[in-house]
Amino acid sequence: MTEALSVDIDSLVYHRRRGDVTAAKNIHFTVQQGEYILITGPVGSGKSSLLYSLDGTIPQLIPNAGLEGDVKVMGKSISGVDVAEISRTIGLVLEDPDTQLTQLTVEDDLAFGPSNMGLPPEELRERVEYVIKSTRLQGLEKRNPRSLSGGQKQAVAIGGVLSFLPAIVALDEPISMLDPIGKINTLAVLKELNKQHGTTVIVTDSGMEIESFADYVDRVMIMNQGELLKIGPPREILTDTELMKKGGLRLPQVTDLAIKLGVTGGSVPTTLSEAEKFATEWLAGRKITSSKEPEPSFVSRDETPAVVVKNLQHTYPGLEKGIEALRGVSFSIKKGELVALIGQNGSGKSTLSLHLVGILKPTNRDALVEIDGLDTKKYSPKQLIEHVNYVYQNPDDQIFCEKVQEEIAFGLEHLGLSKEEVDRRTEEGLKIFGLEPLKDEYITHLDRGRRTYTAISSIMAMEPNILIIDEPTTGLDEPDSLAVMRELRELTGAGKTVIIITHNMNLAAVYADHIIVMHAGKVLLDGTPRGVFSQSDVLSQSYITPPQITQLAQKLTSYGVPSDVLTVDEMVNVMRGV
Amino acid sequence: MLEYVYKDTLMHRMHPVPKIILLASLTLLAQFYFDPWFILPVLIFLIILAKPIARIPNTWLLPMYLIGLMSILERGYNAAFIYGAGYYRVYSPSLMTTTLLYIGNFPVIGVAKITIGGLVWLLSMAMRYFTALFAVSIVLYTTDPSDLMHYLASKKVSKNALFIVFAGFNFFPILLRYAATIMDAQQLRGVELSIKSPVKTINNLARIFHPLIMRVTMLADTLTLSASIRGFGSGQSSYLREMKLTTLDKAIIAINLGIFITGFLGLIFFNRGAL
Repeated sequence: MTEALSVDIDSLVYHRRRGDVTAAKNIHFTVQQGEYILITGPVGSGKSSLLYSLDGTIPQLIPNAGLEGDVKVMGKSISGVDVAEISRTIGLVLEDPDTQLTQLTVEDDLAFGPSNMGLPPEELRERVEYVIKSTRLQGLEKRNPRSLSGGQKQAVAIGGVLSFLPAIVALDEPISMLDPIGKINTLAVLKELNKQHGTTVIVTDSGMEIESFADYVDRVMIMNQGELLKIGPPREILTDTELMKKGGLRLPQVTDLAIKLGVTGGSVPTTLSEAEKFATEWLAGRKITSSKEPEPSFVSRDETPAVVVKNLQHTYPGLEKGIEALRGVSFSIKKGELVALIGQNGSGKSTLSLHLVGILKPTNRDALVEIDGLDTKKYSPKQLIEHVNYVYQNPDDQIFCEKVQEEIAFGLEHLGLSKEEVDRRTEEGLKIFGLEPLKDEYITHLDRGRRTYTAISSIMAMEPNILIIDEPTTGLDEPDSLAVMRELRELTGAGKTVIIITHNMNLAAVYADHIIVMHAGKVLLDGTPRGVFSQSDVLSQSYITPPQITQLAQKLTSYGVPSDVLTVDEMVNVMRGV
Repeated sequence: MLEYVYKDTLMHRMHPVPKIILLASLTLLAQFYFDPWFILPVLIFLIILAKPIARIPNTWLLPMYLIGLMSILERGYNAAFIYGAGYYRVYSPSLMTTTLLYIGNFPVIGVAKITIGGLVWLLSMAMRYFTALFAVSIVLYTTDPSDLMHYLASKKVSKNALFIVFAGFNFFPILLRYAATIMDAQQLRGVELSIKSPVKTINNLARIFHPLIMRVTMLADTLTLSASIRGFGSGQSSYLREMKLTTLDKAIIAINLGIFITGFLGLIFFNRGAL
């Protein structure tokens, strides 16, 4: 096999006002042409910086970044070669799709890369059509990519690179904003390119999507604190409990299950299909006598609904007849619930949230959106902020100040509170995610996890009765995500209502009291996690799949395994016959 | 806002070059005229192109209306000082200098008064502004920038010039989106976006400007990054759509250049369009 990449980075440093920050050091590895590699590690481990150095984006286009060492692409050093030139060989997909979109229609954006290579129009059209189909962007060809949902933008950004079929594609957290089936489709398309065209694929992930990758990649590289801990085949890496722990990562659910059942060595599964085989063998001749009690529905201390939505419709202006984002949405949420709003990309989740905080108003007269008993049509967002508030999907959308402490105090200063109260709540806000040591830090210097913490803290400090968080764990690693979810759980314990929009089914299954599934601007399912996740066929309409462990349980129902198992521990108990 | 929206209209289908020449020649001509009767047909023609033909919604045009109204307010001040008889070559100076309202005699700036001629001048200014604004709106709303860039690239326009077109079409829409997001997010942090009090309005604008400036400073880098990693300027480019000037396109260009030259010469030599 030919060597596609040879990486010899001694150090990769960001020059900051307060001194240099080393993002990566002593990274030495090679990648053969046609390999599919996952680089994983917690936020701040240096994955993205490493990826951006592969095509020369670092140091050429990232201000204040310095690199010592060399990267060879197809045997040639990229030092001094223009990024635009290298991009013909390496297609880079950035973590934030907004920074990658260049054109004003989806099809033009998808064609932008190959058109810069001078391909004939017929071939351009063929490639664009292929990518539109494979990234599920049909019907959006003429839409402005910047007006799409976060996941749809991510699909456009990925498609924009796939369309010019470079020898190497490097993707930074490519599936973090996609719906579950979108994740699988994207990884499958990459695998298809990898197999059919010999394309070398390098992807990064913070570990939250580890189950999705295990089926596809040839090698896994673990990084932590800027260093390469190990690179090897998925089985060797993903079943090494100590290594994964050292890398700040969790095991895939099915791997965790097998290890908790005491299995060792080569029989430990890393993928769903391996797990099915393993579980079938395990269960052969055993009788399942699960004593699992039916899940009680959420019992609210206060039966007054926190949110009531009836026949909500919303049509955005644009195209010929406008764009219907919501088409008659109705549901209610009790006080103190933690609700997960899930659904395919572009199903209307974020639009719905903007209605709940009063930024958008219904476009039909008979709609009702009631928050804490207040009809949002009659109130401005400012009048509603004591009742409801919203944390944006991208923390940078709501960060206005230079430093962390200033940011948390910003909203409080507009609530008419005394200075003492502002100070007190700011202190409390800093404590939520342990941001006190960073209170005087410039926010632009923080990693995505700390910026997300700052954004969430700045809204939590305002103490709204209902808190809506759009994708609270996107771009975060497992420990950061769990910290966020624990805090949200504490809030509901204190009587607040929390609504999260998420594509992370594992977290929804564990933490949510109530799940609302959106599909094409309507509510598809509305119920408890067990009730919702046990309806896999209905969920698939909205491109949702249950957590991996639930999928495994559903494959084993003929052995008496309940179809609504939600966690690994539950599955361990079921398989042990407890 | 202020960006291309795909629709299947005559103006959307039109080749960008004759479209820009048509709109630019008419707008430029209107900018030379002072007589509202000469600007009016151009303005009506552009309104027809913008509304029933290109189907630009009023919500999209709103910022343009605001820019136009603010410009008229600024020009209204100047109109109070247009009262000299020497301004008029076609209309009767005595009629045009008839005073409708005497405002006063001020130190430094002198006499301010409203005359018929001043009002006519203000009207022509307003019509000029709206002519230009409708023309710009039609170009922005109906022209896919990639079509224009592809055409310019085929004419061997330099990479740097292409990047300016690319950045120009992207910059303001992105900026407006940033501003809208920041305003929404600030409302959720208790910032009142009232325009009732000028002091509050200025404070609000200052609050929006700070994060906006922070983002704008990064926008140029972002645009460079996004273009570079997609191979922009790395060699000869090709196009998704065929971009050839048809005979009709060439006829439109010729007719418009003819109208422009005739109108311009008529103004210079026969005062057609002067006051």
